Amino acid sequence: MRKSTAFLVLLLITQLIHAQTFTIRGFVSDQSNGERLLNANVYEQRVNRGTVTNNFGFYSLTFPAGKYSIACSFVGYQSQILTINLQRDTVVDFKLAVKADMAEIKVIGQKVESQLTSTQMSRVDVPMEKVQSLPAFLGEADVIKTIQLLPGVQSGSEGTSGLYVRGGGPDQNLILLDDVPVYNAEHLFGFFSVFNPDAIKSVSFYKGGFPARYGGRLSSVLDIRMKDGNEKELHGNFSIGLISSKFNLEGPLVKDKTTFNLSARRTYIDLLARPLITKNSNGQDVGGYYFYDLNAKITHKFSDRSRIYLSAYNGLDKAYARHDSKDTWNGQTTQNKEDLGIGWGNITTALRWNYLFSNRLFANTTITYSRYLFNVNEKTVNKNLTTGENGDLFGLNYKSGIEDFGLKMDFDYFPNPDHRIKYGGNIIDHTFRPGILAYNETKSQDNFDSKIDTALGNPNIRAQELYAYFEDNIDLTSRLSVNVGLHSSAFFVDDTFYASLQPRVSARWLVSNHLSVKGAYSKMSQNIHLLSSSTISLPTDLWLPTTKKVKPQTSHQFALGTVYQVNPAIDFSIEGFYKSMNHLLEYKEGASFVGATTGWEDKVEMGKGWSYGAEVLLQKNTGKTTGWIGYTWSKAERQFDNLNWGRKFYARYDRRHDVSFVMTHTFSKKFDIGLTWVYGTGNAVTLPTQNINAAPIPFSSNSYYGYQNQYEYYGQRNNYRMPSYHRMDVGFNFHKQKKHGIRTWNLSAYNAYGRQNPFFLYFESTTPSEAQATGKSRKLNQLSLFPIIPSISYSYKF
Amino acid sequence: MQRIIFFSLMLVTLLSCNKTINFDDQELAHFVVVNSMIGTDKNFSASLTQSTSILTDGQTNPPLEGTMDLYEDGTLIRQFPSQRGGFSALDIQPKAGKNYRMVISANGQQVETETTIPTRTDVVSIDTISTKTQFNSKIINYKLKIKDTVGEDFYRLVIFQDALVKFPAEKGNNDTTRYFLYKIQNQILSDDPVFKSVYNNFGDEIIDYGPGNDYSIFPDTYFQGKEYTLQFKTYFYYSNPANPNLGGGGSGNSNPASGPQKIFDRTTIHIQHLSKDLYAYLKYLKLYQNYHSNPFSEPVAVYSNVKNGAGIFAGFNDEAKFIYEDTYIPYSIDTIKVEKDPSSGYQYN
Repeated sequence: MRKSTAFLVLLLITQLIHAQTFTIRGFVSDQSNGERLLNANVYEQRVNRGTVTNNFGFYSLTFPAGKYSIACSFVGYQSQILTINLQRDTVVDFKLAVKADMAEIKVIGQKVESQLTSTQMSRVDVPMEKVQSLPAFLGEADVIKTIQLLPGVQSGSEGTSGLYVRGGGPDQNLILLDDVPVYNAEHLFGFFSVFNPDAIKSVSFYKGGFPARYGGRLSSVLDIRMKDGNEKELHGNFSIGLISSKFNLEGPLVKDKTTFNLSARRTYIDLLARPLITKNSNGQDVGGYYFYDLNAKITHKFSDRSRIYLSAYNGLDKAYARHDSKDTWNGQTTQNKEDLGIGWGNITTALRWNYLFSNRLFANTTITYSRYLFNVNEKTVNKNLTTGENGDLFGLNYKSGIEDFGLKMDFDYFPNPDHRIKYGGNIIDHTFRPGILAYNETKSQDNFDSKIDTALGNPNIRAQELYAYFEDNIDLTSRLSVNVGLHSSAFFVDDTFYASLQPRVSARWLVSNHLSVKGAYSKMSQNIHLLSSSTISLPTDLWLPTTKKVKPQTSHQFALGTVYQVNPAIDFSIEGFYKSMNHLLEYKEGASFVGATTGWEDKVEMGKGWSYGAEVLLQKNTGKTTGWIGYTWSKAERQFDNLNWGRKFYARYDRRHDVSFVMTHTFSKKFDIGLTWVYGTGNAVTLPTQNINAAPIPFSSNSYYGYQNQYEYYGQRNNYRMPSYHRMDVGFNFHKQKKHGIRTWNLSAYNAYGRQNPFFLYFESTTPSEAQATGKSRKLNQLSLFPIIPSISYSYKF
Repeated sequence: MQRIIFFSLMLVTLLSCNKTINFDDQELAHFVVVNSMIGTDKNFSASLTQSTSILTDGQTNPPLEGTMDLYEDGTLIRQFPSQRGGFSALDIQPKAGKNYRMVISANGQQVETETTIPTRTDVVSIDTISTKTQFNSKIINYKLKIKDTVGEDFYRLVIFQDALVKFPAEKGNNDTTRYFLYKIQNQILSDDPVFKSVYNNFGDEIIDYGPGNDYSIFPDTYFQGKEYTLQFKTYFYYSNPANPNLGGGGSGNSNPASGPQKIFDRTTIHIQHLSKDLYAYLKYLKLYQNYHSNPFSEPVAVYSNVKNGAGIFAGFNDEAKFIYEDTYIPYSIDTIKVEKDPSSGYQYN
């Protein structure tokens, strides 16, 4: 009885103490346009406790009653310090102003939640200013190509937008646009990504130490958020480049309540080329290629606690050719019409609702839709114009892709400054479309009519994916903080069920005010697979689910690193990682990736992979000169029972050394330059090295079915290194203040010193004179794609 | 202006350039290559050559000289030097169920390889039915029942059709009567899943059909340790003694009183029990043949089981069954000497 009484008293005292705590909460936003600022620091200076804003700019801090000095900072903005006598729950919305000198000083790295103090490791936030100011291929600023410049990230083939992160494959990256997965982030075989920089507010990239809220891919998470739109007034910009033009318009629909943001981009090679094609074909042919992107977002604030966002993206690549000719023979005029189109593109939509249940509990509910569709259609019609009779008809339509509907709920709970808890869940209904070919043909010849109307291919596959997560960022002491979490996932397909528990842990030890040591462990699981070539991304690449036979991919990644703050502007970090992967997919030897629609499970092999390495990054974030130097040493290996005779081999994008140098320098308000230089060990390719006599096959003719006396010997997969890759890009930006805004001329050069980088290697016969000189009948040739590519663009921001 | 921009873009595309790069072929070449396929009805032999650089297209591998230690089930049974780029032992006939290992020293290198001779295939029965196509071609439909042994097994089916033709002595031409055996390898046509499983030639593949199973190999995946009836068919080629090459057209026999006379048409069904090495070699050789010039397919390495070198050492066991048709029995026939068709390039055994 006495014990019970004592317990109750203790509980009461605890409650009283708690009752005397109060919460300061609010949003941090840009004063000029109302755009919410993500990952901004909100910090109590005396008690040395603070937090960062979440993905919607919200923060919450709970302290005992008393006087506090709350500082709010975000790089590139003037910090605000507010003294407050906390006697009740208080709402403080920080509206930060851009620093006066920021027009002259580019911010090239967001030191928001400082690399030094953050528990998170292996994450980089890429500011859009950086993306826009660096030189780009054909002048098209590109988020993914900027990420390729980071240590630990490989770019794949020359000029493409593939991401190969820490020895992982191109399908192991979770790319989210406003929380919606984007399945094909590439235009024109990967030479451009689908993200229009004008529409994007923030980009966070994780290559390890994954927080529990993310899952579904093994190697990286690219979390992209679209701009909400200016709350105050109408603004916009447009630009005209060598291959495309784009515009962005944003502003309030209802001041301080409803905003919009609209961006569009389209290439116009086809419009320029069409008259020439038509002229050269006497008006019979029309053809071309284009792509476009359309981003739109509407945000409405119901109240201080409730806000809704509707965002959408629609992008399409389209290649087309049309032919229309007439022919007169023997008094009969016939018409031949052919129409061929190949198109592929994504649609994503997110409807999000933020609601503040209490001063400490923030909720976000999202309904998502994502679709990727690849489509080929061909139609040929012949008609006798004299008699009006229809002739032969041929039609073909092929479709493949993936479609998702999802519902997602995320909660941010801020019980006290020592804990930041996130929990939530997601359910996705996938429809995989592995490829349906509809084919019809009508032929009339010699009074014999034939008609075919059929459909081939696999039916759609439905699958349901669920996950739930919990994570807590705990400040154990002023120097030690940890982020512990659990991500659990489930996948249902074809009466098969896969479940996975994935623990995530990361920790930071602040050794001194300038030095921290970090470590992280993540288990990841991936239930969907991309069937693609190892050489190039194609729109025909197919997303397919885990099945009874093809198991989910899993990985374990360990990372250990340190961050040293040389001075407030410069960070130096080293990270080491080790990643093991299971149930990786590779095509069987000889399997072709073109049209692999049926029996795909029998065309692939499952195996294991390992990657390990060290990454060094020296980064300068502020000042007139900003940028970074990155270096990666890494190894990526694979082992499959039925490939390479079961022996280990290097992954295609195994790259021993990788260096990147990224710099921008602002000379004045009117002129700045950007420069990048990259170096990488050559990609590993499979190349024959010798000619081997084939063994005579008993009971067979030497000429039977094309039997050869010799074959080419490969040794093992990826046995040969291409020449190393290096390239310098430079860009010059000339700005001028005009009456209604700022105009910028950008001149840039991709591959400024004209390095012939390898794209593809092949053997070719030597000419007689070469054979005489070298004694060789063949030679190894390298195909390089891009020499120096200059570009120019004009943009105007108002 | 439009033209200028368009042609600028086209120029950029066309400027993608080629250059020859240094390829150290000499450092990578000169492997010791060992090739040997051994069966119970064959004398032991192996070829020893040296690989050539990939930059010397079409040159056959030059012969190598070296020494070999040959082991049977781990016991050294012969040490012998090579002769003219090969090893041959007329007195060694590989035995079913035995493991053979070769250790060869040549060119300052030592290579090693081993294989096992499988047991003979247990053929339970063969049924045939002849049918005719609409174009009057004769087709033989087979049902071949075999009994699989326990464990992982691999098989190959080969069918030959041959005709023995008598060429009587002719004044001023042949001094004596000669007998020639004309031989043709039949293409095996089958929808049997055991054949299709090798290259996954199932379903309605839209674009990529995969290679045909031309070597007619198959694993016992579908019938491990059980009896299985293979179903397949072949075209029957009539031999015409007036123009004796099989497959050349014509039918029936000629007048035995004058000119060449056909003695018989014979179909030989070889059901071969393969070592895993031989199965892998044939499987990947066909894949290689099918895909090596296709830039869009994953490269195919031909299987090799020679450590520190290249080539193949593989065992098999052949079981042959005969079916005779159109037999002409002369009034009298003595012991005759049968000669191979001089134009034939077949590896008969």
